[in-house]
Amino acid sequence: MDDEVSKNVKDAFAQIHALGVIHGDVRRQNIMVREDKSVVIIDFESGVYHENLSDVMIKEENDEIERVFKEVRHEGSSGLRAKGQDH
Amino acid sequence: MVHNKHVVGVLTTMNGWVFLSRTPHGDLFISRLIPCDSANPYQCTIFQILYYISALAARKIKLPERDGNGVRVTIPSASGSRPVAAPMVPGRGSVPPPPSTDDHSTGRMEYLPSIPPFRHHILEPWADIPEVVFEPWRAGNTLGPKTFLLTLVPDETVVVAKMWDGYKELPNERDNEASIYLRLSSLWNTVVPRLIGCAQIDFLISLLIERIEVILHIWFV
Repeated sequence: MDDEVSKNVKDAFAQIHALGVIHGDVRRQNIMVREDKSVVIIDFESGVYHENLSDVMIKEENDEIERVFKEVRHEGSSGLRAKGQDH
Repeated sequence: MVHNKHVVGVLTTMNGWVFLSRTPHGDLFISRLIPCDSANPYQCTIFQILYYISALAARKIKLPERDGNGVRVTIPSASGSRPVAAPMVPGRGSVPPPPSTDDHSTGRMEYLPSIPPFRHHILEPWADIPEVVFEPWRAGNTLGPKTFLLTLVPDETVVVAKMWDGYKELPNERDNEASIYLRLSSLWNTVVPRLIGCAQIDFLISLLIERIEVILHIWFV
């Protein structure tokens, strides 16, 4: 998986967390990648706002992001490919 | 349908279904014949269409027939014993109007200016509430189980609509998602799509966000 994309994903979630929001449904389908490798996070149906977001909550979501990375790396190395889609 | 003042109707045979819709002054729109085993993923299934028609019928809007002057008219019942020509609405010409070139369905949008609990956030209201073209049966317009592309008219903007079934669900989930998008408004157009608005499109509770061109293969580079 592209390092720049994974860095952009982490940065995007960090910006979201900085505004007090937990996404709550981190999945590959909810992380869109533009041609310039910038990312867009979608689907905030399970999102929650906390005035004071705790480190534990942020860590839990970051663990989910790492899980998605691992999943993508695994599928990439085993030759699986995702179908293209918009959202 | 005229006698009972119904707006929508259904005809069915052993092999297919036809769906009907009336408008004032004697216009009757008839769908093409849809086979009972319609299973093309880019078309609607009979079950989906029945669901939609049922939602329209549940509104219980009565539509009495009127003549060209807007006066209510009574159409005689058809004879069950002998064939007779279908009755015409008085004042209406015998030549039917040419079919419309529009083959899309439209829905009226309702702008919801405030979304609890963040009532101090108010999106810019539409000066003229747009209509939408919603064609989920067209290839590429269905992005997910409840996510679709639709077009706002008249400016032809293509947007992403996330829709919940208003028959079964309250707008709570839509409102929560909208409130989160509003919280993240400083990130719109960068890491979060811009929220365009909330709407009620027919019986669908909808959230509209900007469409973003993306690729996926970069995940595997």
